[in-house]
Amino acid sequence: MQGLMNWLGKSLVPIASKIGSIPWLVALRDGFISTMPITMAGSLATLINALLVTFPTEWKWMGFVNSGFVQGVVAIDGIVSTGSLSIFAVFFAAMWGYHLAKNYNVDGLSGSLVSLAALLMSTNNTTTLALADKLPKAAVKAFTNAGATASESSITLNSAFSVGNLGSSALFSAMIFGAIAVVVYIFLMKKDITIKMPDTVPPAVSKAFTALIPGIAALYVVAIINWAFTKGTGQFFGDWLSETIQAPLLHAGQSAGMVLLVALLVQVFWFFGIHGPNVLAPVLESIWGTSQLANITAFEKHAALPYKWVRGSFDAYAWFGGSGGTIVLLLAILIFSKRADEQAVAKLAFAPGIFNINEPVMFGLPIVLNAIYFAPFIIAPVLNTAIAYFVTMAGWVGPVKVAVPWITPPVLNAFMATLDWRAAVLALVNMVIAFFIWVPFVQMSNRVAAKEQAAA
Amino acid sequence: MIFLNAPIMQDKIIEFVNGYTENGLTFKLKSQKGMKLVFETNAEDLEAAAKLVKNAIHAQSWGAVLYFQAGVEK
Repeated sequence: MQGLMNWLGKSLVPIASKIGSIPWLVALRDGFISTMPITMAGSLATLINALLVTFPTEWKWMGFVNSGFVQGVVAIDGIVSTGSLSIFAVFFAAMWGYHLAKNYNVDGLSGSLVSLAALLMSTNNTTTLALADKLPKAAVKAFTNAGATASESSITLNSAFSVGNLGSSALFSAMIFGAIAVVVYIFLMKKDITIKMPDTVPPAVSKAFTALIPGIAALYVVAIINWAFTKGTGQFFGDWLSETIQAPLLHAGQSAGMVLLVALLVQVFWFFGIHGPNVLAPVLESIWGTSQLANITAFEKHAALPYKWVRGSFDAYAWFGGSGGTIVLLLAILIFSKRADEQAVAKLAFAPGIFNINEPVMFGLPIVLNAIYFAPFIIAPVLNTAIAYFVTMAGWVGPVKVAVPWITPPVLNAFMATLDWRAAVLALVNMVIAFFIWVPFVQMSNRVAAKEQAAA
Repeated sequence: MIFLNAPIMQDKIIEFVNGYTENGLTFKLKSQKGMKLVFETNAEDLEAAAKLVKNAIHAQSWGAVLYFQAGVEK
Protein backbone atom coordinates (compact mmCIF):
# COMPACT_ATOMS: atom_id res chain seq x y z
CA MET A 1 0.00 0.00 0.00
CA GLN A 2 2.77 2.40 0.98
CA GLY A 3 4.56 1.57 -2.29
CA LEU A 4 1.45 2.36 -4.33
CA MET A 5 0.98 5.61 -2.43
CA ASN A 6 4.60 6.60 -3.01
CA TRP A 7 4.35 5.78 -6.70
CA LEU A 8 1.14 7.78 -7.13
CA GLY A 9 2.59 10.65 -5.16
CA LYS A 10 5.69 10.77 -7.31
CA SER A 11 4.08 10.22 -10.72
CA LEU A 12 0.57 11.63 -10.63
CA VAL A 13 0.75 14.53 -8.22
CA PRO A 14 3.39 16.56 -10.08
CA ILE A 15 1.38 16.17 -13.29
CA ALA A 16 -1.81 17.28 -11.55
CA SER A 17 -0.22 20.27 -9.97
CA LYS A 18 1.34 21.22 -13.36
CA ILE A 19 -2.05 20.90 -15.07
CA GLY A 20 -3.66 22.92 -12.33
CA SER A 21 -1.33 25.82 -12.87
CA ILE A 22 -1.67 26.12 -16.66
CA PRO A 23 -3.15 29.62 -17.15
CA TRP A 24 -5.49 28.40 -19.91
CA LEU A 25 -7.02 25.70 -17.79
CA VAL A 26 -7.18 27.94 -14.74
CA ALA A 27 -9.05 30.51 -16.88
CA LEU A 28 -11.43 27.84 -18.16
CA ARG A 29 -12.15 26.67 -14.63
CA ASP A 30 -12.59 30.21 -13.31
CA GLY A 31 -14.74 31.08 -16.33
CA PHE A 32 -17.20 28.36 -15.42
CA ILE A 33 -17.06 29.13 -11.69
CA SER A 34 -17.72 32.85 -12.30
CA THR A 35 -20.98 32.05 -14.03
CA MET A 36 -22.40 30.33 -10.95
CA PRO A 37 -24.90 33.13 -10.10
CA ILE A 38 -26.31 32.78 -13.62
CA THR A 39 -26.55 28.99 -13.43
CA MET A 40 -28.10 29.08 -9.99
CA ALA A 41 -30.64 31.78 -10.89
CA GLY A 42 -31.75 29.80 -13.94
CA SER A 43 -31.87 26.60 -11.95
CA LEU A 44 -33.87 28.18 -9.17
CA ALA A 45 -36.42 29.39 -11.72
CA THR A 46 -36.64 25.84 -13.12
CA LEU A 47 -36.97 24.36 -9.64
CA ILE A 48 -39.72 26.79 -8.62
CA ASN A 49 -41.63 26.05 -11.81
CA ALA A 50 -41.30 22.32 -11.19
CA LEU A 51 -42.60 22.66 -7.64
CA LEU A 52 -45.46 24.97 -8.58
CA VAL A 53 -46.44 23.47 -11.93
CA THR A 54 -44.91 20.09 -12.81
CA PHE A 55 -45.78 18.22 -9.61
CA PRO A 56 -49.17 19.89 -9.01
CA THR A 57 -50.10 19.12 -12.65
CA GLU A 58 -49.23 15.45 -12.08
CA TRP A 59 -51.44 15.52 -9.00
CA LYS A 60 -54.16 17.25 -11.07
CA TRP A 61 -54.24 20.38 -8.90
CA MET A 62 -55.20 22.43 -11.92
CA GLY A 63 -56.99 25.12 -9.90
CA PHE A 64 -53.72 25.82 -8.10
CA VAL A 65 -51.62 25.64 -11.28
CA ASN A 66 -53.91 28.05 -13.13
CA SER A 67 -54.17 30.51 -10.26
CA GLY A 68 -53.03 34.06 -10.88
CA PHE A 69 -50.27 33.72 -8.30
CA VAL A 70 -48.72 30.60 -9.85
CA GLN A 71 -49.02 31.93 -13.39
CA GLY A 72 -47.38 35.18 -12.28
CA VAL A 73 -44.49 33.30 -10.68
CA VAL A 74 -44.12 31.14 -13.81
CA ALA A 75 -43.96 34.27 -15.97
CA ILE A 76 -41.27 35.80 -13.75
CA ASP A 77 -39.31 32.52 -13.80
CA GLY A 78 -39.52 32.53 -17.59
CA ILE A 79 -37.94 35.98 -17.70
CA VAL A 80 -35.16 34.89 -15.31
CA SER A 81 -34.49 31.74 -17.29
CA THR A 82 -34.42 33.44 -20.71
CA GLY A 83 -31.99 36.03 -19.44
CA SER A 84 -29.70 33.54 -17.72
CA LEU A 85 -29.47 29.82 -18.55
CA SER A 86 -30.99 30.07 -22.02
CA ILE A 87 -28.12 32.32 -23.17
CA PHE A 88 -25.48 30.79 -20.93
CA ALA A 89 -22.75 30.83 -23.61
CA VAL A 90 -22.86 34.64 -23.64
CA PHE A 91 -21.98 34.83 -19.95
CA PHE A 92 -19.40 32.10 -20.21
CA ALA A 93 -17.71 33.81 -23.19
CA ALA A 94 -17.41 37.05 -21.21
CA MET A 95 -15.97 35.31 -18.14
CA TRP A 96 -13.63 33.08 -20.15
CA GLY A 97 -12.16 36.07 -21.97
CA TYR A 98 -11.85 38.00 -18.73
CA HIS A 99 -9.93 35.30 -16.88
CA LEU A 100 -7.78 34.37 -19.84
CA ALA A 101 -6.65 37.96 -20.37
CA LYS A 102 -6.18 38.50 -16.63
CA ASN A 103 -4.06 35.35 -16.27
CA TYR A 104 -1.69 36.83 -18.86
CA ASN A 105 -1.68 40.20 -17.06
CA VAL A 106 -3.69 41.96 -19.73
CA ASP A 107 -6.82 44.07 -19.12
CA GLY A 108 -9.54 41.54 -18.27
CA LEU A 109 -12.50 43.70 -19.25
CA SER A 110 -11.23 44.16 -22.80
CA GLY A 111 -10.49 40.43 -23.01
CA SER A 112 -14.05 39.78 -21.91
CA LEU A 113 -15.52 42.01 -24.62
CA VAL A 114 -13.30 40.54 -27.33
CA SER A 115 -14.28 37.01 -26.33
CA LEU A 116 -17.97 37.86 -26.28
CA ALA A 117 -17.80 39.48 -29.72
CA ALA A 118 -15.94 36.41 -31.03
CA LEU A 119 -18.76 34.15 -29.86
CA LEU A 120 -21.42 36.27 -31.52
CA MET A 121 -19.42 36.32 -34.77
CA SER A 122 -19.31 32.55 -34.92
CA THR A 123 -22.95 32.02 -33.96
CA ASN A 124 -25.69 31.47 -36.50
CA ASN A 125 -27.47 34.83 -36.60
CA THR A 126 -30.48 33.69 -38.54
CA THR A 127 -33.67 32.25 -37.09
CA THR A 128 -35.70 29.87 -39.19
CA LEU A 129 -39.33 29.14 -38.49
CA ALA A 130 -40.51 25.88 -40.04
CA LEU A 131 -44.18 26.19 -40.98
CA ALA A 132 -46.68 23.38 -40.63
CA ASP A 133 -49.09 25.04 -43.05
CA LYS A 134 -48.27 26.27 -46.53
CA LEU A 135 -47.60 30.03 -46.65
CA PRO A 136 -49.67 31.91 -49.28
CA LYS A 137 -47.62 33.51 -52.10
CA ALA A 138 -48.65 37.01 -51.02
CA ALA A 139 -47.36 36.35 -47.51
CA VAL A 140 -44.06 34.99 -48.91
CA LYS A 141 -43.66 38.21 -50.88
CA ALA A 142 -44.56 40.35 -47.86
CA PHE A 143 -41.96 38.60 -45.68
CA THR A 144 -39.35 38.85 -48.45
CA ASN A 145 -40.02 42.55 -48.86
CA ALA A 146 -39.61 42.98 -45.11
CA GLY A 147 -36.07 41.52 -45.36
CA ALA A 148 -36.72 37.89 -44.43
CA THR A 149 -35.91 34.86 -46.58
CA ALA A 150 -39.29 33.23 -47.05
CA SER A 151 -40.66 30.22 -48.87
CA GLU A 152 -43.95 28.38 -48.68
CA SER A 153 -42.64 26.13 -45.89
CA SER A 154 -40.32 28.36 -43.86
CA ILE A 155 -39.40 31.89 -42.93
CA THR A 156 -35.80 32.79 -42.13
CA LEU A 157 -35.18 35.99 -40.22
CA ASN A 158 -31.75 37.44 -40.95
CA SER A 159 -29.64 39.20 -38.31
CA ALA A 160 -31.79 37.63 -35.61
CA PHE A 161 -29.94 35.57 -33.02
CA SER A 162 -32.02 32.72 -31.74
CA VAL A 163 -31.86 32.30 -27.95
CA GLY A 164 -31.46 28.59 -28.59
CA ASN A 165 -28.17 29.22 -30.42
CA LEU A 166 -26.62 30.98 -27.44
CA GLY A 167 -27.27 28.34 -24.81
CA SER A 168 -25.21 25.32 -23.83
CA SER A 169 -24.88 24.22 -27.47
CA ALA A 170 -22.67 27.27 -28.15
CA LEU A 171 -20.22 26.64 -25.31
CA PHE A 172 -17.51 25.10 -27.45
CA SER A 173 -17.79 28.00 -29.92
CA ALA A 174 -17.37 30.35 -26.97
CA MET A 175 -14.29 28.42 -25.83
CA ILE A 176 -12.60 28.13 -29.21
CA PHE A 177 -13.33 31.54 -30.72
CA GLY A 178 -12.95 33.28 -27.38
CA ALA A 179 -9.51 31.69 -27.10
CA ILE A 180 -8.49 32.67 -30.65
CA ALA A 181 -9.61 36.27 -30.20
CA VAL A 182 -8.10 36.72 -26.75
CA VAL A 183 -4.80 35.13 -27.79
CA VAL A 184 -4.47 37.60 -30.67
CA TYR A 185 -5.42 40.37 -28.29
CA ILE A 186 -2.90 39.30 -25.64
CA PHE A 187 -0.16 38.82 -28.24
CA LEU A 188 -0.54 42.34 -29.63
CA MET A 189 -0.83 43.86 -26.16
CA LYS A 190 2.35 42.08 -25.07
CA LYS A 191 4.13 43.22 -28.25
CA ASP A 192 2.99 46.72 -27.36
CA ILE A 193 1.31 47.24 -30.72
CA THR A 194 -1.04 49.78 -29.23
CA ILE A 195 -2.01 53.44 -29.48
CA LYS A 196 -0.35 55.41 -26.72
CA MET A 197 -2.13 58.43 -25.31
CA PRO A 198 -0.46 61.31 -23.44
CA ASP A 199 -0.53 61.23 -19.63
CA THR A 200 -3.07 64.04 -19.55
CA VAL A 201 -5.77 61.73 -20.99
CA PRO A 202 -8.02 60.15 -18.28
CA PRO A 203 -7.04 56.51 -17.52
CA ALA A 204 -10.38 55.06 -18.71
CA VAL A 205 -10.02 56.76 -22.12
CA SER A 206 -6.35 55.84 -22.35
CA LYS A 207 -7.14 52.18 -21.56
CA ALA A 208 -9.79 52.06 -24.29
CA PHE A 209 -7.35 53.47 -26.86
CA THR A 210 -4.63 51.05 -25.79
CA ALA A 211 -7.00 48.16 -26.49
CA LEU A 212 -8.05 49.55 -29.86
CA ILE A 213 -5.55 47.94 -32.27
CA PRO A 214 -5.32 44.55 -30.47
CA GLY A 215 -9.12 44.43 -30.13
CA ILE A 216 -9.81 45.24 -33.78
CA ALA A 217 -7.15 42.80 -34.98
CA ALA A 218 -8.53 40.03 -32.75
CA LEU A 219 -12.06 40.45 -34.02
CA TYR A 220 -10.95 40.64 -37.66
CA VAL A 221 -9.04 37.37 -37.29
CA VAL A 222 -12.18 35.68 -35.95
CA ALA A 223 -14.34 37.31 -38.61
CA ILE A 224 -12.03 36.15 -41.45
CA ILE A 225 -12.01 32.57 -40.12
CA ASN A 226 -15.81 32.55 -39.90
CA TRP A 227 -16.26 34.18 -43.29
CA ALA A 228 -13.91 31.69 -44.97
CA PHE A 229 -15.63 28.75 -43.28
CA THR A 230 -19.12 29.87 -44.20
CA LYS A 231 -17.96 30.63 -47.75
CA GLY A 232 -16.40 27.20 -48.09
CA THR A 233 -19.05 25.09 -46.41
CA GLY A 234 -22.23 27.16 -46.48
CA GLN A 235 -22.55 26.60 -42.75
CA PHE A 236 -21.92 28.75 -39.69
CA PHE A 237 -18.74 27.69 -37.88
CA GLY A 238 -20.62 27.67 -34.57
CA ASP A 239 -23.22 25.23 -35.89
CA TRP A 240 -20.50 22.97 -37.25
CA LEU A 241 -18.57 23.00 -33.96
CA SER A 242 -21.71 22.19 -32.04
CA GLU A 243 -22.59 19.24 -34.26
CA THR A 244 -19.13 17.87 -35.06
CA ILE A 245 -17.06 18.54 -31.95
CA GLN A 246 -19.28 19.36 -28.99
CA ALA A 247 -22.03 16.78 -29.40
CA PRO A 248 -19.70 13.75 -29.86
CA LEU A 249 -17.51 14.87 -26.95
CA LEU A 250 -20.51 15.22 -24.65
CA HIS A 251 -21.74 11.82 -25.71
CA ALA A 252 -18.29 10.39 -24.99
CA GLY A 253 -18.76 11.80 -21.49
CA GLN A 254 -21.69 9.41 -21.08
CA SER A 255 -19.38 6.40 -21.23
CA ALA A 256 -18.77 4.43 -18.03
CA GLY A 257 -15.01 4.54 -18.60
CA MET A 258 -14.81 8.33 -18.60
CA VAL A 259 -17.20 8.76 -15.67
CA LEU A 260 -15.34 6.24 -13.50
CA LEU A 261 -11.91 7.54 -14.49
CA VAL A 262 -12.85 11.03 -13.34
CA ALA A 263 -14.37 9.69 -10.11
CA LEU A 264 -11.12 7.80 -9.45
CA LEU A 265 -8.79 10.69 -10.29
CA VAL A 266 -10.68 13.14 -8.09
CA GLN A 267 -10.25 10.82 -5.10
CA VAL A 268 -6.57 10.18 -5.77
CA PHE A 269 -5.89 13.91 -6.07
CA TRP A 270 -7.74 14.71 -2.84
CA PHE A 271 -5.82 12.03 -1.00
CA PHE A 272 -2.50 13.61 -1.92
CA GLY A 273 -3.59 17.13 -0.98
CA ILE A 274 -4.62 18.36 -4.40
CA HIS A 275 -8.03 19.84 -4.96
CA GLY A 276 -9.39 17.15 -7.31
CA PRO A 277 -12.44 18.92 -8.73
CA ASN A 278 -10.34 22.07 -9.21
CA VAL A 279 -7.67 20.29 -11.24
CA LEU A 280 -10.28 18.45 -13.27
CA ALA A 281 -12.69 21.38 -13.52
CA PRO A 282 -11.84 22.11 -17.17
CA VAL A 283 -12.94 18.55 -18.04
CA LEU A 284 -15.72 18.27 -15.48
CA GLU A 285 -17.32 21.55 -16.47
CA SER A 286 -16.67 21.42 -20.23
CA ILE A 287 -18.17 17.97 -20.58
CA TRP A 288 -20.52 17.19 -17.68
CA GLY A 289 -21.25 20.83 -16.78
CA THR A 290 -22.29 21.50 -20.37
CA SER A 291 -24.40 18.32 -20.39
CA GLN A 292 -26.09 19.48 -17.20
CA LEU A 293 -26.93 22.85 -18.74
CA ALA A 294 -28.41 21.07 -21.74
CA ASN A 295 -30.54 18.96 -19.36
CA ILE A 296 -31.74 21.98 -17.39
CA THR A 297 -32.65 23.83 -20.59
CA ALA A 298 -34.46 20.78 -21.98
CA PHE A 299 -36.35 20.23 -18.71
CA GLU A 300 -37.44 23.84 -18.68
CA LYS A 301 -38.84 23.39 -22.19
CA HIS A 302 -40.54 20.12 -21.19
CA ALA A 303 -38.33 18.33 -23.76
CA ALA A 304 -36.59 14.96 -23.37
CA LEU A 305 -33.37 15.22 -21.34
CA PRO A 306 -30.40 14.69 -23.68
CA TYR A 307 -27.90 13.36 -21.10
CA LYS A 308 -28.12 10.88 -18.23
CA TRP A 309 -24.87 11.48 -16.37
CA VAL A 310 -23.99 15.12 -15.73
CA ARG A 311 -21.90 17.23 -13.38
CA GLY A 312 -24.42 17.15 -10.52
CA SER A 313 -24.63 13.35 -10.64
CA PHE A 314 -21.23 13.09 -8.92
CA ASP A 315 -22.38 15.36 -6.08
CA ALA A 316 -25.71 13.59 -5.70
CA TYR A 317 -24.50 10.01 -5.57
CA ALA A 318 -20.81 9.85 -4.67
CA TRP A 319 -19.55 12.97 -2.91
CA PHE A 320 -22.00 13.11 -0.02
CA GLY A 321 -20.54 14.88 2.99
CA GLY A 322 -17.70 16.00 0.72
CA SER A 323 -15.47 14.04 -1.64
CA GLY A 324 -14.95 10.50 -0.42
CA GLY A 325 -18.47 10.24 1.01
CA THR A 326 -16.89 11.12 4.36
CA ILE A 327 -20.18 11.76 6.17
CA VAL A 328 -20.63 7.99 6.45
CA LEU A 329 -17.07 7.63 7.72
CA LEU A 330 -18.00 10.00 10.53
CA LEU A 331 -21.02 7.84 11.31
CA ALA A 332 -18.86 4.72 11.25
CA ILE A 333 -16.43 6.33 13.68
CA LEU A 334 -19.20 7.51 16.01
CA ILE A 335 -20.65 4.00 16.13
CA PHE A 336 -17.58 1.74 15.99
CA SER A 337 -14.46 3.66 16.93
CA LYS A 338 -13.14 3.52 20.47
CA ARG A 339 -10.40 6.03 19.72
CA ALA A 340 -10.98 9.26 21.64
CA ASP A 341 -9.13 11.33 19.02
CA GLU A 342 -11.26 9.96 16.15
CA GLN A 343 -14.46 10.38 18.17
CA ALA A 344 -13.54 14.01 18.90
CA VAL A 345 -12.84 14.74 15.23
CA ALA A 346 -16.05 12.99 14.12
CA LYS A 347 -18.19 15.02 16.56
CA LEU A 348 -16.52 18.24 15.44
CA ALA A 349 -16.71 17.42 11.72
CA PHE A 350 -20.26 16.09 11.62
CA ALA A 351 -22.11 19.42 11.39
CA PRO A 352 -19.98 20.80 8.51
CA GLY A 353 -20.15 17.33 6.92
CA ILE A 354 -23.93 17.62 6.60
CA PHE A 355 -23.23 20.53 4.28
CA ASN A 356 -20.54 18.58 2.39
CA ILE A 357 -17.62 20.42 4.01
CA ASN A 358 -15.08 17.80 5.01
CA GLU A 359 -11.87 19.70 5.59
CA PRO A 360 -11.97 19.04 9.36
CA VAL A 361 -12.11 15.27 8.82
CA MET A 362 -9.70 15.25 5.86
CA PHE A 363 -6.98 16.92 7.94
CA GLY A 364 -8.20 16.23 11.47
CA LEU A 365 -8.37 12.47 11.28
CA PRO A 366 -6.46 12.72 8.93
CA ILE A 367 -7.50 11.01 5.71
CA VAL A 368 -4.98 12.84 3.57
CA LEU A 369 -1.82 10.71 3.24
CA ASN A 370 -3.22 8.19 5.77
CA ALA A 371 -2.44 4.71 4.42
CA ILE A 372 -5.22 3.07 6.48
CA TYR A 373 -7.94 5.17 4.89
CA PHE A 374 -6.51 5.24 1.36
CA ALA A 375 -8.44 2.19 0.11
CA PRO A 376 -11.96 3.10 1.32
CA PHE A 377 -11.47 6.74 0.36
CA ILE A 378 -10.81 5.63 -3.22
CA ILE A 379 -13.08 2.57 -3.44
CA ALA A 380 -16.31 3.89 -1.85
CA PRO A 381 -16.90 6.89 -4.15
CA VAL A 382 -15.84 4.99 -7.28
CA LEU A 383 -18.18 2.12 -6.41
CA ASN A 384 -20.97 4.57 -5.57
CA THR A 385 -20.41 6.30 -8.91
CA ALA A 386 -20.50 2.96 -10.73
CA ILE A 387 -23.75 1.92 -9.03
CA ALA A 388 -25.44 5.27 -9.63
CA TYR A 389 -24.17 5.34 -13.22
CA PHE A 390 -25.67 1.97 -14.12
CA VAL A 391 -28.93 2.67 -12.27
CA THR A 392 -29.26 6.03 -14.04
CA MET A 393 -28.35 4.58 -17.43
CA ALA A 394 -30.91 1.81 -16.91
CA GLY A 395 -33.52 4.54 -16.42
CA TRP A 396 -34.40 3.47 -12.86
CA VAL A 397 -33.83 7.03 -11.64
CA GLY A 398 -34.25 10.27 -13.54
CA PRO A 399 -31.13 12.18 -14.62
CA VAL A 400 -30.04 15.39 -12.91
CA LYS A 401 -31.97 18.32 -14.40
CA VAL A 402 -31.54 21.09 -11.82
CA ALA A 403 -28.26 22.63 -10.62
CA VAL A 404 -28.12 22.38 -6.85
CA PRO A 405 -25.56 24.22 -4.67
CA TRP A 406 -22.88 21.79 -3.55
CA ILE A 407 -23.55 22.58 0.12
CA THR A 408 -27.03 21.01 -0.13
CA PRO A 409 -27.15 18.10 2.34
CA PRO A 410 -26.86 14.53 1.02
CA VAL A 411 -30.06 12.76 -0.14
CA LEU A 412 -31.86 16.13 -0.34
CA ASN A 413 -29.27 17.07 -2.99
CA ALA A 414 -30.15 14.00 -5.05
CA PHE A 415 -33.88 14.69 -4.80
CA MET A 416 -33.62 18.39 -5.63
CA ALA A 417 -31.26 17.77 -8.55
CA THR A 418 -33.45 15.12 -10.15
CA LEU A 419 -36.90 15.91 -8.70
CA ASP A 420 -37.21 12.14 -8.45
CA TRP A 421 -37.74 10.43 -5.07
CA ARG A 422 -36.00 7.32 -6.39
CA ALA A 423 -32.78 9.35 -6.67
CA ALA A 424 -32.99 10.12 -2.96
CA VAL A 425 -33.37 6.39 -2.28
CA LEU A 426 -30.38 5.65 -4.52
CA ALA A 427 -28.28 8.22 -2.64
CA LEU A 428 -29.33 6.62 0.64
CA VAL A 429 -28.48 3.11 -0.62
CA ASN A 430 -25.08 4.39 -1.78
CA MET A 431 -24.48 5.88 1.64
CA VAL A 432 -25.25 2.55 3.31
CA ILE A 433 -22.86 0.75 0.92
CA ALA A 434 -20.13 3.33 1.56
CA PHE A 435 -20.74 2.98 5.29
CA PHE A 436 -20.03 -0.75 5.16
CA ILE A 437 -16.90 -0.13 3.09
CA TRP A 438 -15.58 2.32 5.71
CA VAL A 439 -16.43 0.24 8.82
CA PRO A 440 -13.62 -2.40 8.57
CA PHE A 441 -11.05 0.33 8.07
CA VAL A 442 -12.29 2.24 11.11
CA GLN A 443 -11.89 -0.97 13.10
CA MET A 444 -8.43 -1.49 11.57
CA SER A 445 -7.47 2.02 12.60
CA ASN A 446 -8.55 1.14 16.16
CA ARG A 447 -6.44 -2.03 16.15
CA VAL A 448 -3.39 -0.18 14.83
CA ALA A 449 -3.76 2.53 17.49
CA ALA A 450 -4.15 -0.11 20.21
CA LYS A 451 -1.01 -1.91 19.00
CA GLU A 452 0.95 1.33 18.91
CA GLN A 453 -0.23 2.17 22.41
CA ALA A 454 0.76 -1.28 23.68
CA ALA A 455 4.19 -0.98 22.04
CA ALA A 456 4.71 2.43 23.64
CA MET B 1 0.93 31.16 15.87
CA ILE B 2 -0.88 29.75 12.89
CA PHE B 3 -0.64 26.30 11.34
CA LEU B 4 -0.97 24.90 7.85
CA ASN B 5 -1.71 21.22 7.26
CA ALA B 6 -0.16 20.81 3.84
CA PRO B 7 0.72 17.35 2.55
CA ILE B 8 2.59 18.48 -0.56
CA MET B 9 4.78 21.32 -1.79
CA GLN B 10 5.86 22.10 1.74
CA ASP B 11 9.18 23.64 0.68
CA LYS B 12 7.45 26.04 -1.65
CA ILE B 13 4.84 26.94 0.98
CA ILE B 14 7.49 27.56 3.64
CA GLU B 15 9.53 29.73 1.29
CA PHE B 16 6.43 31.70 0.30
CA VAL B 17 4.99 32.19 3.80
CA ASN B 18 8.37 33.06 5.34
CA GLY B 19 8.74 35.85 2.81
CA TYR B 20 5.11 36.94 2.85
CA THR B 21 4.32 40.38 4.24
CA GLU B 22 0.93 42.04 4.09
CA ASN B 23 -0.08 45.15 6.04
CA GLY B 24 3.03 44.80 8.18
CA LEU B 25 2.32 41.17 9.08
CA THR B 26 5.24 38.76 9.11
CA PHE B 27 5.44 34.98 9.32
CA LYS B 28 8.30 32.68 10.25
CA LEU B 29 8.38 28.89 10.30
CA LYS B 30 8.49 27.65 13.88
CA SER B 31 8.12 23.91 13.44
CA GLN B 32 7.49 21.26 10.79
CA LYS B 33 6.12 17.87 11.71
CA GLY B 34 4.57 15.58 9.13
CA MET B 35 2.17 17.67 7.13
CA LYS B 36 1.82 20.28 9.86
CA LEU B 37 3.69 23.55 9.46
CA VAL B 38 3.52 26.04 12.34
CA PHE B 39 4.37 29.69 11.75
CA GLU B 40 5.03 32.46 14.23
CA THR B 41 3.42 35.74 13.34
CA ASN B 42 3.11 39.24 14.71
CA ALA B 43 -0.62 39.27 13.74
CA GLU B 44 -3.10 40.02 16.52
CA ASP B 45 -6.07 38.47 14.76
CA LEU B 46 -4.73 34.97 14.19
CA GLU B 47 -7.88 33.64 12.50
CA ALA B 48 -7.68 36.45 9.95
CA ALA B 49 -3.94 35.87 9.48
CA ALA B 50 -4.49 32.16 8.80
CA LYS B 51 -7.17 32.99 6.26
CA LEU B 52 -4.96 35.62 4.66
CA VAL B 53 -2.09 33.19 4.21
CA LYS B 54 -4.40 30.49 2.83
CA ASN B 55 -5.86 32.87 0.28
CA ALA B 56 -2.41 34.17 -0.63
CA ILE B 57 -1.16 30.63 -1.32
CA HIS B 58 -4.25 29.82 -3.37
CA ALA B 59 -3.66 32.97 -5.40
CA GLN B 60 -0.26 31.65 -6.57
CA SER B 61 -0.14 29.76 -9.84
CA TRP B 62 1.40 26.74 -8.07
CA GLY B 63 -0.96 27.01 -5.09
CA ALA B 64 -4.34 27.20 -6.80
CA VAL B 65 -4.81 23.44 -6.83
CA LEU B 66 -3.45 22.71 -3.38
CA TYR B 67 -5.80 21.32 -0.78
CA PHE B 68 -4.64 22.26 2.69
CA GLN B 69 -5.94 23.46 6.01
CA ALA B 70 -5.06 26.70 7.76
CA GLY B 71 -5.93 27.55 11.32
CA VAL B 72 -4.86 29.00 14.65
CA GLU B 73 -2.32 26.96 16.60
CA LYS B 74 -3.50 26.57 20.19
